[in-house]
Amino acid sequence: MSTNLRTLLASAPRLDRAVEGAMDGSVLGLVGALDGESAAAVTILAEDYLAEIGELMGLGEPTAWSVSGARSCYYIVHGARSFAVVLGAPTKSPGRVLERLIERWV
Amino acid sequence: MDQLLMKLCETPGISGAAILHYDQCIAYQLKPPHDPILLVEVLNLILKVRDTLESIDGNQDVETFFLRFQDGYIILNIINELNLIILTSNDIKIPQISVAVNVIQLKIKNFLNSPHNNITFNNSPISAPPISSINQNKISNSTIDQNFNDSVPTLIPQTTLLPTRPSTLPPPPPQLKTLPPPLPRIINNSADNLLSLSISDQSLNPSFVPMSVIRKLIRLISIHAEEDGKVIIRRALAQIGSTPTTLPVEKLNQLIKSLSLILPQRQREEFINQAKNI
Repeated sequence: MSTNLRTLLASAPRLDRAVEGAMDGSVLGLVGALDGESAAAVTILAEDYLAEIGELMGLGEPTAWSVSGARSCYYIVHGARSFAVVLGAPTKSPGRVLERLIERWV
Repeated sequence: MDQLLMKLCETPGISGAAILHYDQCIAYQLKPPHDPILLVEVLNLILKVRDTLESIDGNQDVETFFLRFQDGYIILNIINELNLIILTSNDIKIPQISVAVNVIQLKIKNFLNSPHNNITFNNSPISAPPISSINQNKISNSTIDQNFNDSVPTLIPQTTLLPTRPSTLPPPPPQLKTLPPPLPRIINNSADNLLSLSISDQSLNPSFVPMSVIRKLIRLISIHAEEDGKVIIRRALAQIGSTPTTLPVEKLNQLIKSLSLILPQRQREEFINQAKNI
């Protein structure tokens, strides 16, 4: 599993931490200094809100998302049975990084 | 601001945009059925996502959300006290959209920093009020022209989004009609009631159990059964003649009981109690 995560980290510059989580919140793999369990659990909690947004706007299920802040960017991509959380440095084009992660993960 | 959004919506793939200040929609360009009231609710949910993520990487000033769904994107840019929401289709060119977003971000920042701008905002709390109390006063005409010199019509009494009005300007347009009455809360008063749906839970068909509840049940049964919860739920739904998206509210109790039966006797009561609290 960490091989897949390393592939993700190589998708774009300055991505340095990643965790793979299962839908029940368990951690399947981890690369870098990151509290994998918290990241996975928090992601699942956040997904509930995103699912509501998708229903509200008629856009279907969330498939990937990113949050960019002053200090870091946070990317989540969904797979068939798991999801990956990737953290990296801030960027002006998080959408492009997200697309690359989606291509590599799926 | 309307001019900025109109220009933005000319970008291929962008289907709508709006600028919000907390629960106020300042300007929007949206096609039906999308409406500012939806975006206020969306903003509230996105900010909850932001609050949830704080535990991972500490408190930081979040600037951009990029949300990809099966049928489109929602992009949120937080620019000082304003929230720019952009809706796109799925077949967009990300670099093009990124450039369009960066451009409008710069224009809004320039406007806010402009010496001609003496607009002030109320520091109202971020949490969204109930939908019925939202004032949906959209500025129907372009209120801030390209020189940013015109004054802005009164939005609502408590919002001080008003620069000084020169006496030579025409009077503001009349305020728009108020919101329609809110959707009724659907409360199942039967003895087997396990769920009361909040307004944000109401999916397109309010008589079906929302997917968020199904997802939580999947997680719960996965933990108890130590198996793939999705497979278990699908099997159980098939037995009662439903699917994850079309489970009638009145059958939720039946589903929970059916799920509990696959568990050892000693775990059933705990599972049912936890499911009732979803």
